[in-house]
Amino acid sequence: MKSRIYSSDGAKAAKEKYTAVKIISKGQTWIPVFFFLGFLISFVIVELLYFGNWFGAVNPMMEEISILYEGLWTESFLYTGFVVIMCGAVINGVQSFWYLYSSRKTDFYHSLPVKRSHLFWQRTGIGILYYLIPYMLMVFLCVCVGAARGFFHLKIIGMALMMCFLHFLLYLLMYFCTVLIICVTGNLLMGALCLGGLMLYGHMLGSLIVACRTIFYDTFYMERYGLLRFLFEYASPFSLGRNLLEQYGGGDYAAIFIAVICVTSAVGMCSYMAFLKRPSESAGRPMVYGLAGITVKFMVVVPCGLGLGLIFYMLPDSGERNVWGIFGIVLGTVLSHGGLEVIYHMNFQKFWSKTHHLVLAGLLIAVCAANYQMDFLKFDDYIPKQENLKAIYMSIDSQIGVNMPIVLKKENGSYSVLGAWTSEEAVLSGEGGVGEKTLQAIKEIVEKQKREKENSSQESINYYRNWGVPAERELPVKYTLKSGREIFRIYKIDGESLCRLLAALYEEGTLKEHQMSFLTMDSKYLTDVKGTFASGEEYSLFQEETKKYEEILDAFSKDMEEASAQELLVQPIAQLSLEYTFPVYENTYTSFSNIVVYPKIFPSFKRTVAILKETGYPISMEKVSLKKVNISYCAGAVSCSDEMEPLTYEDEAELKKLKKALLPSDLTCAWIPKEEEIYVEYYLEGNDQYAYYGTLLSDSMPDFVRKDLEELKGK
Amino acid sequence: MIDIKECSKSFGKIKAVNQVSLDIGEREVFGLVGSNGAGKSTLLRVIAGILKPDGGAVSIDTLPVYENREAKEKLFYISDDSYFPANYTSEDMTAFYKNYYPAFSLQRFRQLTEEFHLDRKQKIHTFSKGMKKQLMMILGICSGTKYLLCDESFDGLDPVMRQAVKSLFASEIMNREFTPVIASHNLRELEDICDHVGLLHKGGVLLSRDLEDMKFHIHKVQCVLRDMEKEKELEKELEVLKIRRQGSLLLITARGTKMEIMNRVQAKEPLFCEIIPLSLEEIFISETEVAGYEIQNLFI
Repeated sequence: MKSRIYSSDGAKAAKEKYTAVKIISKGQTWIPVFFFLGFLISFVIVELLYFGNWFGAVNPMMEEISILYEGLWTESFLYTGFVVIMCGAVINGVQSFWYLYSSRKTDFYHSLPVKRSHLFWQRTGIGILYYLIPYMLMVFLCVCVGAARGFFHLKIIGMALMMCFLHFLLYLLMYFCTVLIICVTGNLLMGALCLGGLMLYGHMLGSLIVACRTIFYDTFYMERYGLLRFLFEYASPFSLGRNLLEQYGGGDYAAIFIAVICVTSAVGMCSYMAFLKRPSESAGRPMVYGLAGITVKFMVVVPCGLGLGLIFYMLPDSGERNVWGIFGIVLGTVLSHGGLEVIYHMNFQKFWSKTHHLVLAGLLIAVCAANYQMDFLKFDDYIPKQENLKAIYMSIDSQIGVNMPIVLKKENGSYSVLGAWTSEEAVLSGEGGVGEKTLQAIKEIVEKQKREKENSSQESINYYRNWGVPAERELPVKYTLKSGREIFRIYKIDGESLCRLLAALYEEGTLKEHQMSFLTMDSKYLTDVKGTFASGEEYSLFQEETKKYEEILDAFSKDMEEASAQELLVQPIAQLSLEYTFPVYENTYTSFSNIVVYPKIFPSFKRTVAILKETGYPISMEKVSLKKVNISYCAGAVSCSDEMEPLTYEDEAELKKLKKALLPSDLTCAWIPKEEEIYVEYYLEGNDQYAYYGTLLSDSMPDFVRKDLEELKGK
Repeated sequence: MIDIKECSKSFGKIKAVNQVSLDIGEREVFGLVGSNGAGKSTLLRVIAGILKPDGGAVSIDTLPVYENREAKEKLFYISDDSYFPANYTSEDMTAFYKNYYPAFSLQRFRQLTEEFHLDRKQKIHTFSKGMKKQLMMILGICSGTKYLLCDESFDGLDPVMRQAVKSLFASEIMNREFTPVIASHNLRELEDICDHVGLLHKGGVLLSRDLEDMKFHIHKVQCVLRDMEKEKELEKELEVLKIRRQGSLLLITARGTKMEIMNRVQAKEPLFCEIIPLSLEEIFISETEVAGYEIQNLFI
């Protein structure tokens, strides 16, 4: 009997709720229709399009399509639905709360016998219904379409539910952000500006900081970490949501997932409190809460002043940059502050009001600008203390001459190649952390760079600030501290400093292991071996005797193992080119189908050299027959143009002397001192139609070439 | 009873309501009068629980009104510029209000809309200003609330409709607990409907009196006396609020009952004597002049 009474009460309450929703929804049916159409396109239509493509292919494989179909639920649908959800959340938030911008509507709703808290959750709840009903319908339809095509299992349901949850979380995040903005602003103009600001502020401020650091700091490396990473990747609901989806697709998303939940809860709470505390009479005011208005003002004025100052600083080529920079700062600060005051008061006469805020903002900007110009915080000098340093990473690329891919063998027997020098496996420090020699070498690099900067003229500083330094002299470094913090720097480095650094990394770090990592790949996948010899020519080796492949790999492995750091930092005499090819669909599935590695062969590699000698190709320039050498001058912004006549040497005696200095481009290494401002092409006897490129070693460059070059420079 | 104690509300530097104390009794029509900017609408919005007072307190039947559903269920607020959600018809409005006011009477609403010739299925945005006012009045009455707060609600109603609404109020007061509070800048508009009037000026209450009481205790008499001596004696004997001479005719506004005043005048053996009816406006002017205010220009 009781249950009957309860059910009757429940039915009545449900009916009342339904009636309430029906009445309140009058005139708002376009919102669920928007969601319905949006989700229809982003889920069902997208699914049908993909199915059309997959099944339209020649010999479609169900197993392969099944993998691709799962990818739809873990990636494609997440992004297509995300766009609809972001737009819909903004629409829902605006539709639910923009009555607060009208005094008439506010009086109407706030005079009703209902608590503000109830009003808030009622409107939020109705918004969720508008979103959730079309969403669930479309997801269900999507699952049905997949099932009709033969793809239905519990895993799909699990993925669909997870997608629903992630989308719902992101909907709430964007919805509460919109509501918060409406609750703290009092008119449409400020609301729209703040909403735009919320979406773009992180990127704008991040770009400004990047621009300032790039121009004023010599060691700034454009990598998103710390504050910049936060600004670019997490400072707006859109970028935060996108990152959550990206990391969910990658499988490692627990941290960001928790972060999004926390941020959503915090924004939800703030929007709720802002709504409850919002005075009804604030409709029409630009900013409802005075403190929020001041905060927004400083958040806008300081970057604007700094940004305009930077633009004016960059305009002149040299000379009065600082004067123009200060002018830009003053102009930007005054204009942005005055503009905001005009918007706040809706009155042009208020341009000069709140001058104490203007002065305070000006001071803040001056401090920021002075810090960038003078580097008070010692950004360029920063090197972590050894006791705080956990690991060190460097981008040792082809320009430096030790660009060996780091190959990893997975537990299942497959291989992967590290794509990024910043990834954990690319660590260059040893088990005991970063060694003293390594850190000392970096300190010397930093001090040398500082000395060079102090000695260089203002014109050259301006030149570098405009165009950057030559790429071959840069070494990006990542420090990982024991606290987990990551710091990036880029250093301008010369051959001598590099040599010391590499020696330290060979001795204390894992550089040698990285260079040998390709040896973990099974030699059965080695399909081609080539060699670049002293002449610069590349030859295929051991085509008829593939058993030699294993022999040379074994020899290289032993030689490398035994080589000291100093032996690995001399001029290489040859370079191998080893191509590994993998069958794509096999158990030993790799993330790549083929890979070519280019190990360098040094004079101390006795075993390898002995095998190479058997081929008969020259491993010394002495045995190369040169026909002609052309040397062109090119430095800085002056490129080697065809208009400038190169120096040509064909005389046998001159060529003999040149041989001692000539080095094919494939065998160049950044730690070997070479002439920087020349461009060399040479021709071999019997093959004078084909030009080889190289450079000249500084130590053995003939005097006559140096003299001729001086004359050429004079022209 | 609506109890307003030292209520203040400021908008920035402007004090819209300043330390107002008022009691609005039950089953009476309370008129809140004052010039533009006197604070009538602000006070009504504070009473309706829309605005939170900066100081003081407003309670309805001992319940604080701000953010109190129970208290707000006892009142219905009609703004001077009422808002209706887009595309709503009169019937939609009834359904809307039924959600919030459980005592809302659909039957009464149908009856009244027919009496006022309002189409229940017509979109409200197609209504004239007067029709919207009528509709709001009807919705307010049908909501079944104890208090009805009307901000300039008679403005825009034609005399026939105004009379009809007044009759409606009278009938509601007769039949149930009902207290309309009407804010207006026009004293004449309230004269024949209000039982009690509060006068607001520059955010403060100048006076709050029962209309009958005021009419009973203030009278205007015109008379012609035989000599100046008697005139002076009469002026001393009566509690004169205002005295004016037009030739030999003496016009006296004095406090007291009709009988008391007439007895004193008759005792001076006047050549001519009669009591003249006082308009509400005249009573207010007389009262406020005594209080030191010159408010003739406040009223239309």
